[in-house]
Amino acid sequence: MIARIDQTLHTFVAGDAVSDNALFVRGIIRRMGFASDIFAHSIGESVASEVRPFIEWSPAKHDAIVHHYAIGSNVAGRVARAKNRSAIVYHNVTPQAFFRPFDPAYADLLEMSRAELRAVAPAFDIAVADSQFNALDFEALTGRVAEVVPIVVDPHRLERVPDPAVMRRRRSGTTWLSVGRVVPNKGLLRLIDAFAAYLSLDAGATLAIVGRYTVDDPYYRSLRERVAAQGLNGRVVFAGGVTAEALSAWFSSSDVYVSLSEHEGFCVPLVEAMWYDLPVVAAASAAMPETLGSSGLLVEAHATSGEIAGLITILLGDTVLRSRVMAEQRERRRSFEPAAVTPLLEEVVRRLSS
Amino acid sequence: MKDPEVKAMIRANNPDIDVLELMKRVRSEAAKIRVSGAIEERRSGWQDDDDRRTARALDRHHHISSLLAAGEEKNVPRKQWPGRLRFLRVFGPLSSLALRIWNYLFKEQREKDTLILHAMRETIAMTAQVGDYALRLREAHRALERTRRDLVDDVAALRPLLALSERVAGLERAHHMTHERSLSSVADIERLERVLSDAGILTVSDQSTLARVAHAHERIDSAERDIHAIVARFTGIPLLADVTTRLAESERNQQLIIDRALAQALRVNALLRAELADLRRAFASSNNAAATIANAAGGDRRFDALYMAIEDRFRGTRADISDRLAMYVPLIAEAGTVTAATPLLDLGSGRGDFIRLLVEAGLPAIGVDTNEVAVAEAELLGIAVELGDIFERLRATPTASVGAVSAIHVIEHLPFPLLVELYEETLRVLVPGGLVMFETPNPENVRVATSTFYLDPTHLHPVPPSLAEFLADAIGFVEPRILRLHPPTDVDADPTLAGNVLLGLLGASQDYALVARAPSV
Repeated sequence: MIARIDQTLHTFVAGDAVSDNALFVRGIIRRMGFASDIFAHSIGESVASEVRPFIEWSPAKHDAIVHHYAIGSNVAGRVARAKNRSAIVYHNVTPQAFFRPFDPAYADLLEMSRAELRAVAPAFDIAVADSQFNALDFEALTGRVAEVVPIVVDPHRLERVPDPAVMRRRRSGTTWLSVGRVVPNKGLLRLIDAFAAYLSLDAGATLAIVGRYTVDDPYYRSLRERVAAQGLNGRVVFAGGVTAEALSAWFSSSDVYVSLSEHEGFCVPLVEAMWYDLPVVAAASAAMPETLGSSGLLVEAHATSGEIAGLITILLGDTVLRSRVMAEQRERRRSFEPAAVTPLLEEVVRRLSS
Repeated sequence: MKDPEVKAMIRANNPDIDVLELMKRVRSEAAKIRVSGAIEERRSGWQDDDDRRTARALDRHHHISSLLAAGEEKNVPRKQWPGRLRFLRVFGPLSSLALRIWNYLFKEQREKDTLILHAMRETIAMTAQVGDYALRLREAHRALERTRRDLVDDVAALRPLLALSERVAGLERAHHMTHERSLSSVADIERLERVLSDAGILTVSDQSTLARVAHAHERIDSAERDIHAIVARFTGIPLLADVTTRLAESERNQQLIIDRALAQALRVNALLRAELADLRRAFASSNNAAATIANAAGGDRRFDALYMAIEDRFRGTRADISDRLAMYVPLIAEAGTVTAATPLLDLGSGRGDFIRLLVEAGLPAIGVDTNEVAVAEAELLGIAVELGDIFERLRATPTASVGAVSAIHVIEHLPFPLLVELYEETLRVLVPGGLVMFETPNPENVRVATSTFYLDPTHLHPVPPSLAEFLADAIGFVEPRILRLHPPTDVDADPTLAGNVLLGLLGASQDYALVARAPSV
């Protein structure tokens, strides 16, 4: 009889979609009457109290395990080797090609991760993916069919008092917001170019890129160079990794959410933007069309910077168009509410424990 | 094949949003955007995966250069101990000395690194150029491809015009048939006249009227019906004479109408041909494969029809011209050098008015002209005018094989070197004693020199009579003389001195002819 269902993952940090998802799943498991902890190999300082180090993990024979797979590590291998009943939740591994020019070592790691996934996948009893896109990716990689359980986006967790420091920032014009780590698959060069085109229609606008970066990261440096080359110094803000309050402030004080990312396994910020009632414009790539459904506006890969800028100009100025976009967004965001996702997760946990 | 512009850049995921209508608005909005910088220009030109790949490679240059920049930043002598060795600071001067030794030890390595970094920068610059070049090459290729498609479309659009051209040809054929029919009608009239003559009513038929009757093409049947009706009501000779005159008049009108319609049709035809030739040339220059078509096309004939229209407007009617040219006939006859073996060669003969006049006077003559429309008109009138360049014709003409050379209103079109060549070649092809006649506008008349000369846009500059005469003498002609022709009719003599001076300026003849002969051996 299974009494304990633990979760394992490689990295647990604040504000990370996979980490948040694990916390939510832990709540469900615990509510269903099982003991449950999260074990991670690498743990962010601010959340250390929530998680246990992976070295402490030593499952008893009848414990079940949910492993979140987003990057390769010894964690997945050890979980797979354990004889316990287990589920794998696939959160996507970014194709290595995006990182190859900037961070060859990380690209190698991503490549190994996909190979490792292929090797460990058969060891799990249940396979789950958080989007249809990821399920297809998983199947292509491992030959196994995964069921789709979307990531939960809990609006109550977004109810934070916006950081006054951010709210006070002087802003007289339109703000484009893009949230996510500053990494090469996010299409930020294209975003900067589209924003440059938009500036010629609305000279007082600001582009806010909110997400962690390191100053000497080549990708970040290339973005800065592009900003300088387009003459956008002062108009593009790299806000870095921010607190939940600051993020809330950025969402609350922006006018449009734009993501031209080339690869996303789900893209939580799209749903968050919907909860902040920001109109969303996203590239029709990877999982983003699926996450948006009939909401937001999707631009194709061949859309020029001018067209994207023109579209956003119209979206911001045309109340009829915006209300149509918003109506769908308000409908769509409910699909990822706890109330919608919990039954699906409970079903997975039930099968895992039986 | 779908045009990239037509492809929607917005995915239709929301049924409440009309994507096509939105796209239209987006395009008009995007059109307002001032594109800044080469990056954007390049990006907006991307059309396929190749472009995007190249562009991505170009983007990578930023990344690689930023890597290099990071390397360069680190490639400097150390001023302090790194991270964990920082505690060495406490040793004060000893620590700085050690740091100096450290820097000394790694100096060579730094220099090597500098060289490598430099080499990499150069390599990057080079690849950037190659990538840029590849993009440009593809753009050029696409532009060429677009031009080619446009041309194919244009040629397709021209097809209806070709059909029109064929209809014009049909019209020509119909005209010939009418002509045939009118000839048989003439025969009928001749028969009728014979009957009348046998009856002693009409003794001599008017030859010139008959000749004109022979050229009537249309509505001759109705004219015949008129005759029949009149003959039926015939009571006496005076009435018949009146009828004959009226008949001739109506025929002249018919002739005029047909001539005009035909000339118009010919001009349209020539314009169409010229346009087709132009298109073919443009097509050929953009596409090597079409080079053969270009060879098949002729020279620049665009202005032929227009030029004829200008001539019609400003040089007077055909009858006027014939009257003016008539004065040459006795000159040529007197010279006695024009025979069937050594005919007269008329350079720039236009519709062949002069040739007709000469042939009618029994003087064999050949014309040559570059104007397709003019030559086609001459051909239609049964006058021998060759289509071609006068200089080519002269060069191809054997020495001492031409009895006379005329060039009516030609020399004012020629640049000086060609003018000299015209004199020289004329002298060469003329038989001993052969006659040369060059007619040209007379710049002694102030109105000609300042205004009317330029009515013809192809006129280069007036040739003063003294120059024309001097050249003839210098090049070896004998007995050169200047015949001043066509005095103005609207200038009256004035007895005052000032009046006489004005008369000299305004009343001088409007044209002149240089007449000279080849030396008689």
